[in-house]
Amino acid sequence: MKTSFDLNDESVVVVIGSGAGGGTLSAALTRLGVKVVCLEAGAMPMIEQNLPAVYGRTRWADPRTHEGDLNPALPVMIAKAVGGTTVFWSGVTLRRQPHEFRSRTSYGALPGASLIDWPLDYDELAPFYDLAEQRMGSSGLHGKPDVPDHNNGEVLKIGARRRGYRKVSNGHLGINTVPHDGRPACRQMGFCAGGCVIGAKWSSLHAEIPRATATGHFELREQAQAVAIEHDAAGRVTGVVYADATGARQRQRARVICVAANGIETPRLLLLSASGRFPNGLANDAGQVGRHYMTDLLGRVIAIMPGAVHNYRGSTNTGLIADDMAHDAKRGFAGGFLYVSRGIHFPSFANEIRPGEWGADYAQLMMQYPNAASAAVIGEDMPVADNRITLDAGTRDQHGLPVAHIAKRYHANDLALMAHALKNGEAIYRAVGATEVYTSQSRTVIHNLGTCRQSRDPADGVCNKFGRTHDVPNLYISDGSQFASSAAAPPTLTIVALALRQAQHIAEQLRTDAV
Amino acid sequence: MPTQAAEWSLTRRGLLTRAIAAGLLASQGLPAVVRTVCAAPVAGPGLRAAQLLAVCRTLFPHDFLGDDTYAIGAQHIEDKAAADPAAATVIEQALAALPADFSSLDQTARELALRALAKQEFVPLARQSTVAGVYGTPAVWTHFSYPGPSVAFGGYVDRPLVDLPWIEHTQA
Repeated sequence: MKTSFDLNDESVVVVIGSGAGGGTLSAALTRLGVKVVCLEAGAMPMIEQNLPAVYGRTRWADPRTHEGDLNPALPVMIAKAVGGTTVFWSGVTLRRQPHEFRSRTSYGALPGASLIDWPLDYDELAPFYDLAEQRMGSSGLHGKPDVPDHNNGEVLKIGARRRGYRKVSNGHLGINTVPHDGRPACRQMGFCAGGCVIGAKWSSLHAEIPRATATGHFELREQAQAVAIEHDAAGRVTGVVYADATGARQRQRARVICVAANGIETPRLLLLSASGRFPNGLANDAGQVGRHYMTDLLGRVIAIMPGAVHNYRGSTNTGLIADDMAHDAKRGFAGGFLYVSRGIHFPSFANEIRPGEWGADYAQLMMQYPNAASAAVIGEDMPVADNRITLDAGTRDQHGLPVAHIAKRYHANDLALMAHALKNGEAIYRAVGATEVYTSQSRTVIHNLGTCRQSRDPADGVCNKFGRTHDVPNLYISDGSQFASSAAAPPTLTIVALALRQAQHIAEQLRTDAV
Repeated sequence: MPTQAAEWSLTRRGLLTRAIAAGLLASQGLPAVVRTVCAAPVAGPGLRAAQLLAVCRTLFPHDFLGDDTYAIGAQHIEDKAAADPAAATVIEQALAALPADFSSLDQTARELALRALAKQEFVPLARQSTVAGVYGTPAVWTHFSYPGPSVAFGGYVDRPLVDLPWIEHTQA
């Protein structure tokens, strides 16, 4: 049911962003009867089974500047579209481990790292993990069948078993193995990251936005890019100024504002909203907005096998090795990691075998594509205070505003973890006869976390354990920006669980007139 | 500042080649960029197109791929030049620094010429363009045993997903 709200309607909750956080929060709030206007910077994406084409036209291509360790050509790969980066994700729905909510306690003081414990513990979030897994149709959980085996996953799993790993499985994917939630079962088409043409993969685009729309309490405004959040004399936020599809400024009034614009744009928007009362940026009295930028550690292992693998068949991330997710100080670094099989699209194969290299020998390597098996490493990335998002006043976007400047340099712990993971990853594939193995850390990142983090002490972060900002009572952080630390598990399930929990909290606050 | 290309165009061989090329090409219905590389033109936009195309082929040479495919990579480079003045300068300077007969050199000599470029910003830019333009083009995928999208036949769910006959013969 299509609904629309007046720009001057002060009773609505405005959610900025329609991805894993914003889309889920919108659906959960409207289900509880709350009126929501969702502002999405991107447009409705056109999905086809051609990953490079979808990436090309759907990625966030607004200008940014950066320094440090990320790939100069493409530091960050996220979507600008209805559904946000859930259009691109590959579906891994794994929980964070209990000790990962107590990072500082678990790992101790690491020189140069700005670790804190979360104000939230695992047990508080666990019921919402259950709800998130059920909502997303996580395979192998809550009565849903496992995803079927496929070659690329089997090569990884057989290699891992030969090497003595025990936690070897197909993992849990937010991809329907049976029809669920009005969406069909997966057809194993391959390359989930280009967007699922049949909607078997959970995404905000295919699951949450339709769910919100059906309540009659929801309005999605596409191509509506938030440029500033306004507040009153009491320091309460009152509305969002956004640029519409024509570039014209509009102002949506609001009772509560929830920012879920991804870990780079969320802090940028708060910094752009500086005022006399908030001279360093909105909710930035402690100077924490934009700091502690984490990307997760992303590695890739590509192996040339003695026979055909056809890694393009089937869901991208079937096949999980979870033994290394535990923290084990004896390995010489803090935190854990996992291996997950990863179908590798043909142009990506060219980019990733030996990044940056080329020539006649390299062209010959490309002929090995049918025999290539591939896995990703995902690992915990240490927070560092000076890894941060700031405004670059010297570079302006299409709306005339300073762009985000990204500073990211990997901590020594990160490099030690990645070296360990890549070395053992290579050994897994050697155990099944790999003739060549290429390993590298990806310097194009997809998970942007920690830049408006939760903290017990307002001096250490931006928001509390419900995502409510310490400085502004009716302003919430609703995406991965609120993570106080990263983890061995990728972030999406946790973002969804936090959004479901936050929706209950906000609805209760509204009901009791607490906001 | 005159470019190397402009100087080269005034030599006797350059003028001769250009004259022959003009006559040969008048009757051919090939795409412009294909014509220019066949004729090894020696100046102006034709030379630039031929050089860019040769750069793309040098980065990832495959005999079975035609110039029409590498021209897509060259177009990606031109798109970057059009979108970004800094990239345009990088491209201009690199092309000026390459030998004027770059496109008629053999693969080994072209690789050496590219690796000898004093300013190396061009190569990553050209590499990224070639990967996107050549390897990102669906028509080339079957050459590398990737059959492309499976949506037309309903995905692999009813097809063999596990067939690894070779794996039993490998050892831990």
